Amino acid sequence: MIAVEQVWKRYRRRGSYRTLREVVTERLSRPFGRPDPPRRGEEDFWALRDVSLEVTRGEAVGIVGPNGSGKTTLLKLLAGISLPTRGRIAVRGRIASLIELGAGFHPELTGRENVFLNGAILGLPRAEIRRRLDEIVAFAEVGPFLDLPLKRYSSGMVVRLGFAVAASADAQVLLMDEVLSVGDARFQQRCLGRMRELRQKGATVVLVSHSLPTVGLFCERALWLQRGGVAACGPAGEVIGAYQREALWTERRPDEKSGRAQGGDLLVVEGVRLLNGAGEETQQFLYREDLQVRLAYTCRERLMRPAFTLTVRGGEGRIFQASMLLDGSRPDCLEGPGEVECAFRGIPLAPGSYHVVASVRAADGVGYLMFPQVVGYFTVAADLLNYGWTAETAPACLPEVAPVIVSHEWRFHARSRASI
Amino acid sequence: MHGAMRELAQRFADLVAHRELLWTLALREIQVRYRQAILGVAWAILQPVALMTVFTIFFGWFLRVPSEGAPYPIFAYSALLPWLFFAASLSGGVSSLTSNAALVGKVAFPRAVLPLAAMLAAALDFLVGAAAFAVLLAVYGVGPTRQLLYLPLLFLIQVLFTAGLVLFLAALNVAYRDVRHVLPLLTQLWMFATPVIYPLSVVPEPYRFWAWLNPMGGLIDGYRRVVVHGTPPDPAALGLAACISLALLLGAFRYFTRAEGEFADII
Repeated sequence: MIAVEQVWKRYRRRGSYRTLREVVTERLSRPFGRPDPPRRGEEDFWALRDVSLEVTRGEAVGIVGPNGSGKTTLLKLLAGISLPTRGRIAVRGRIASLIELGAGFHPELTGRENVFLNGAILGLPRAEIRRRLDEIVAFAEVGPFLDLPLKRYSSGMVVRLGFAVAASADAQVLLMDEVLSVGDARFQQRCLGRMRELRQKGATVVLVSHSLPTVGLFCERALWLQRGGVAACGPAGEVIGAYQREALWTERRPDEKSGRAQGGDLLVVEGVRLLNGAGEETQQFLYREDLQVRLAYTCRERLMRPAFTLTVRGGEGRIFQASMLLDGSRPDCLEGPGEVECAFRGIPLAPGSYHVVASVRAADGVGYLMFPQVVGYFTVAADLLNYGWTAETAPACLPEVAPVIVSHEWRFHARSRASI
Repeated sequence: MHGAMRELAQRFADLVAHRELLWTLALREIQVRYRQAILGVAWAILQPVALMTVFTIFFGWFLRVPSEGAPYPIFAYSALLPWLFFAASLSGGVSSLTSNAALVGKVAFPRAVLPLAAMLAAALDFLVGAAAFAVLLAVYGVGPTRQLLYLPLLFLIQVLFTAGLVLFLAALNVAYRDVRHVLPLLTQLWMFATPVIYPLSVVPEPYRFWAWLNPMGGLIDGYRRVVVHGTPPDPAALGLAACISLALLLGAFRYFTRAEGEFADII
C-alpha cells in the first residue's frame, strides 16, 4: 500500500527566499562556470536520511521521535505535498491527509461553505459532500452554527469541523499528524472511534504522535526517527519502549552545577536488571505481577548511611516509590562495588509504558550521592481481560486511564427513605 | 522529449480532474471579496465605470484623444473591461501561491489550481462588467452585429495568454518575491503600451508590428473592432496573438510543473 525506498530529503538551511538581486549578483560575479558552492552556515540540512518503510493494506504504523526528527517531513512526502530529494515513494489508494485540520478554511465563509471548500481541497466531489453533509455536521456538533461565518466559531468547533470533513472521505490511506492532540478528551475519543471504524473498513493508517500510549494502542508497528534516520522499526511496543528509554536517558539531569559541589557522582550505577515474580529478567510485566529492581553500583569512596530511592514514573508523573528515607532501611556504610535489590509486590498498574528512576541521598538526607536518573523502563501488557475490563468502550478509553488500578466494586442501592 | 510531453499531459489531466476545486476556489475568492461589502458585486461594475469616467474626462474631453469616430466612453470601456480582467488576473494570480502558503504547505493538489482560480474569479467580474457594458452600448445606440461571434474566440485567446503569464509569474514569485513588487509597475507600463486609452491606429507605422507582438494589443484592438465598430478583428494580429499565447502557456505550464515540487519546501 505504501512503499518508501531509501528516501532522502534535503532542505536548504538558509531559507527559502533568494531575491533576484542575489541571483543576479551571484551570476555577475561568476558569469561562467557553476554557481558558488554553499557558504558556511548554509549547508544543506538533511531532514530524512535513507528512510525505508513498507506498510501493507490495513496496517497502522506510528511514527515516533523527538521534535525535528523528520516525522512531519516523512508524512508530507507520503501525502505528496513535497517530493523526496532521493529515493522513491509510492502510495496506492485514495489518501486523506489530516496533517492540518481545516486547511483552506476561510474565516469569512460560513461553516457550510467551508465544508464544501475544505472537501474540494481534500479532493471530495461536491455531490459526495452534499450527501454526507448531515453526517459531517452531526460529528462536528456545529449544527446551529452551520450558516454563521467561521470567524464566529470557537477554535474547538473549527477543529471538529476540520476532522469531520477529512474523516468523511472514504480514504484507503489515512495520514495523521498530531491530529488527536487538539480538541478536548471527549472529542479525541470520538476521533479514535472514527479511526477504528475506518480501519475496520480496511484503511491503512500512518500516525505521527507524541502520545506514545496512543501509538501503542492504535498501531501494530512503529517507526522511530532520530535526526532524520531510522533508529528502529518494528512492533509498536518494542519500538516505543526503546524510544522511551533513549529519550529519558538523554533528558537533562537536574541541577548539575550545584550537584558537583555536593558530590553528586560518588555512587555510580553500573547496571540495572528488572525481574518478574519468577525471577526472569524482562521488560514486560502483567497486572499485579511482582517487580524486582536490581541495581549494580560502585561507590567512589566510603559512603555513610546512603539512602536509595526508586521511583516508578509513567505518563503524567510519579506513581509509586520505595525510599529508604521513609522506611529507614538505610545501610550504615557502603564501599566499593555492590548490588541492591528492591522487590515491589503486585504492581497495580494499568496497561502502558513506565520507567524507573533511581537516586541516592547522602547521610544528611538532602545532598545527592547520585542524582535522579532513569535506570530502566518496562511496559505493562494491555490484556484487558486481566483487569476484568470487558466493556466495549474499554479500548477507546485506554489512553485516558489512570495509571494505578485499585480493585473495586459498584453497587446500586435502592433509596430506603423518601427524600421529603 | 516524448516522455516530457507525456508528463505534461499527465499534469494537465490532473488539473482537469481537479476542476471542481478550481471552481470552488474561484467561488471562495468572489464570496470573500464581496462579503461585508455593502455594494457587493456592484464593485465589479463600479471599477471599470469609474475608470471609464476618468479617462473620458481627461483623455476624451480635455486631450481629445481620437476614438475612431466612436463615443469615447464606449471606446474606453470596450478596452478597459478586458484590460481589467487581465490586470486583476495578474495581481490576484501571481500572489495566489504565497498568500495560500498554508494550503500549499499542508495539502497535496495540483498547485496550478490556485493561480487559475484567481484568474477565473477575475473572469467572473469581467462577465458582470460585460453585462453593464451591454446596457451602456444600448444607451449609445450601438447595436449588436454578427461580428460579436468573434467574442468567444477573443476571450479564449486572452484566457490562454493570461493563464500562461499568471502561471509563469506565480511560480517565479514563490522563489523570488521581487515579482510581486515589480508587478504593479509592470502592469501600469503595459497598459500604456497597449491601445487602451488610444486607438491602435495612432501608433506610427514602423512601430505597429511591435505593438502587435503584444498579444494584449491585438486582442484589445480586436474587442474594440468587434463590439464598437462592428468590423472583424485583424486576422494577422489575432493569429499572432494566438500563437504567442499558446507558446507561452505551454512553456509556462512546463516551468510551473517542474517548479511546483519544491513549492511546499520554500514557500
